[in-house]
Amino acid sequence: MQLTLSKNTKPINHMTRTFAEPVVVAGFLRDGCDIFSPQIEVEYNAAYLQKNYAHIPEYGRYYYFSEPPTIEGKKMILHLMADSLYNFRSVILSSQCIAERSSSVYDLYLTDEAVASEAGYTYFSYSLPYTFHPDNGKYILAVAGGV
Amino acid sequence: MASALDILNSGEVITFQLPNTTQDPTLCNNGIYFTDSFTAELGLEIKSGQRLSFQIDNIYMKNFSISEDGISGDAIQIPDNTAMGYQYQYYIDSSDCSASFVLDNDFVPKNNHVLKVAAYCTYDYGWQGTTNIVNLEYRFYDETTEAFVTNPLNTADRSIPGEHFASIPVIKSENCLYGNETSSEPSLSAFRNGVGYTFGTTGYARNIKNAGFVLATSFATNIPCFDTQAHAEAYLRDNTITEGLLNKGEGTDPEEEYEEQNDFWYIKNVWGHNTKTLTGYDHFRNYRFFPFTEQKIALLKRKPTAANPASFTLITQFAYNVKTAGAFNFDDDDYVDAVTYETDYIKKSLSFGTDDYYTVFKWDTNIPTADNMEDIEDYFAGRKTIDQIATNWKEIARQVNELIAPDLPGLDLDESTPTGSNGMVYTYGAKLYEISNIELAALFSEMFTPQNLQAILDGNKLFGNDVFNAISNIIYLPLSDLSEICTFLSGTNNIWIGSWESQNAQGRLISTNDKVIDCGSFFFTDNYGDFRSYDPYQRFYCMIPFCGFFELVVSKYIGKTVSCKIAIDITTGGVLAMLFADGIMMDQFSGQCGASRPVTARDSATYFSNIVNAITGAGGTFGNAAKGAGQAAAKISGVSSGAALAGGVAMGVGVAAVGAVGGTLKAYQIKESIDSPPTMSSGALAGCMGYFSNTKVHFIVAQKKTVRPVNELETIGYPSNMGGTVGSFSGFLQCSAFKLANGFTGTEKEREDILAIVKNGIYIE
Repeated sequence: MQLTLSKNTKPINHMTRTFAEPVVVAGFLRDGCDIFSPQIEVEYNAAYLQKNYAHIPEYGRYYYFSEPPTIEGKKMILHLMADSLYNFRSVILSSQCIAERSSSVYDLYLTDEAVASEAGYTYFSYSLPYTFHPDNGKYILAVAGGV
Repeated sequence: MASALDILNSGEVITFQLPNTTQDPTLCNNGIYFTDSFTAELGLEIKSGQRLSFQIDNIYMKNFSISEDGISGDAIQIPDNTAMGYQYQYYIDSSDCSASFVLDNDFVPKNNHVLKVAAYCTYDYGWQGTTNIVNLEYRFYDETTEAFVTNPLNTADRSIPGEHFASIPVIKSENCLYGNETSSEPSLSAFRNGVGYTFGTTGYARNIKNAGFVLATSFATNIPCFDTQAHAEAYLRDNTITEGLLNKGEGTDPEEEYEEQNDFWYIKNVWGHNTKTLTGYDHFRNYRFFPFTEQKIALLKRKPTAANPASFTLITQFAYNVKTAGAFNFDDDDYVDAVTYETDYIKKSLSFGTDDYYTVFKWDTNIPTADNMEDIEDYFAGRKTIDQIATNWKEIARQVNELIAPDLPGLDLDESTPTGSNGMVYTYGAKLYEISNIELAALFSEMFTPQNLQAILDGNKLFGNDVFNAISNIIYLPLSDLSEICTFLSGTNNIWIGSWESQNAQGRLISTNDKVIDCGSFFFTDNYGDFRSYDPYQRFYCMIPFCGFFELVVSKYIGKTVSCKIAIDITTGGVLAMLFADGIMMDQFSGQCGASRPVTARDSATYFSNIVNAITGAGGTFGNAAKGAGQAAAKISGVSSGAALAGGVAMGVGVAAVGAVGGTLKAYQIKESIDSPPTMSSGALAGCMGYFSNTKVHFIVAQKKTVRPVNELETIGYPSNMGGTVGSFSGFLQCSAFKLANGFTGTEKEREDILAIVKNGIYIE
């Protein structure tokens, strides 16, 4: 099969990828592997050690290197993992979801567990302007009588 | 002569219908003028309380120009300084009689500047006619003076070739004229004041508040046109069409109903699209805007006209394009870009031009929709909130999870809490005097003088010859001026006890105890603007003199004006403190500020016994202490329980009322009052002890110091709980629930993988 190896600088939890320095190589699937986490055997080439991303048109999928390639004589074994986020990005983008946390749509009045608080409180005191005068008060004399 | 008096309502674009052209305008250079080929669409915004009318007479012209106050360099930066000086010239082609003009992008008219329209001929042969070129006049009806301000224009002799101006005032400085016919999108500068405008004849943005005017070939009008100026002025003055309306049935009748919103509506050219792939077919959008951002948008209902059915116009503020003010999803296309262009929402039945981009607008929108431009202006200016102007507020509230005030049939929402007053009069029978310490000493001195004994005994026969039976109460209140809570009879009066009149002691006779003390107010700012402004991150306490120290519920007061009023019962010294938030009473507390002054040894013994009991805990609680003191006050002074009830129970609901009239309450009521949470300490203090505590109403705000990472938003976002498509979010997104859309062709393992990924969080560029 043909596969394209490249260098991706985007973390796999991002929705986009970069495909730098692509190179098309021939390889084949090792026995017992599935297409979700395949191991691909290719001819040894030191340049492939700089790659971290693969596209296998035959499988219709993109893969990231799940671990560094292993070398067996003149062969290299590429340990791949299907990049589900990128492979199905279109359908994911149009899928309905409920956001637990978001950078773009959020409610600041929901309690944020990521905000830590120190122990205790700081107190601020304020006063309304009106003042009672117990030191200069007045008597009320209630009496019966008078005219 | 065509004549129409037209009325501009605020924000309304009007058009004039003039008779068709009957003459070839190119012939004017021979002195043969053409007539009735001029149409002006006016987009002026009028100040509240003002309306504008125009009178258009015959038009004989070839070119137009505009200026502001006749000084081009001052406000209008028009590069084409021609032979007409500062004026920018327009040629009216004989074939289509259309004209348009462009103002410089940086043009911002000054407040109350006047834009001028000039019609003049630049043909070599000059003018040879003798009649007016353009006869425009504008007028305002000033509701303050109830008079018209009229500025007739172009009444000068037009036989002289050259410039002839008509003035069109630009009312508000923020109504910026903006024009850029060739740009693919409006300039940001056009929106800096929330307004913008593009001149042109072929459909440019009118999405913002209107300002300026557009020339075009012909339009129908739904502006009321009247047969006489008197009828028009009557309409301007009364806002009611009575008679003389010429274009009835063309949307001018206030009684005409809006067309029902029972169908999809089309947004013409709302969505600019870089690739123009939207042209010519429907694109459904579920549009959601962010209602509480600085950028605001709203829909304005428009009455149907002869040319158009009912429509809506999108009004934006601080929004360069619609996307910046909201978010949307879509069903059938990858959205590339969105720029607000044309903003008339029109029905599908209308035809579109080949260059028009349109999209179906579903009426489950949460864009606030208002009946009039004034409401939208108030909303934009922050004078009104969405719920006050939007006819679709409930839909908005549901979609954005806002609270909807309970709809209680038969009840109106209070804007303030009405409070009562005390009408009891104390000027006869049992009298109340305000008396100073010196006067009180003089009174006692006079009473205890042997020479006065017989007169006092004679004067108190009704009371068993015991003068102290006629003195029902002597109470000290911590107010330097009792007029803050009482109304007095005028002057000072000799004090009477029974039928004996003191010759040495005087006091002010109290008429009514009918005033409350306004202690002041403050605005409780939502300083964090997030959850940290509320409990338990921020707590709120108040210390009310003679009442106690209470913890308040933060959410009752935050973001509102907090005020405190205190009422004092002069017969018992009972205190009622009322706390208001934006005029609504949220809490009330009671206490005791009056201290009875013993007169006889018997009274003193009872009085001090009660205080001692209170202090040593014989009463068990502050409440009982207050009760003891209150009972002491009542007993010593001889106030009947009925009198105390009138003063105390009627006002108090809490512990202080217990103090004042404890004997009249059931035991379980007392216990309930004492145990009521969440007071930290409350109730009256016995005797004068309250005088040593706070003398002002104090508020204490307790805040926890919190630590929020500065990069939290970009790394892990903020709590959301909002729903939508993944594509409608940007930046970090962590899903609590995820429903994979149709069209997924992967395996179950991949579906589970995707679910795990989105629940862990992804970054959407």
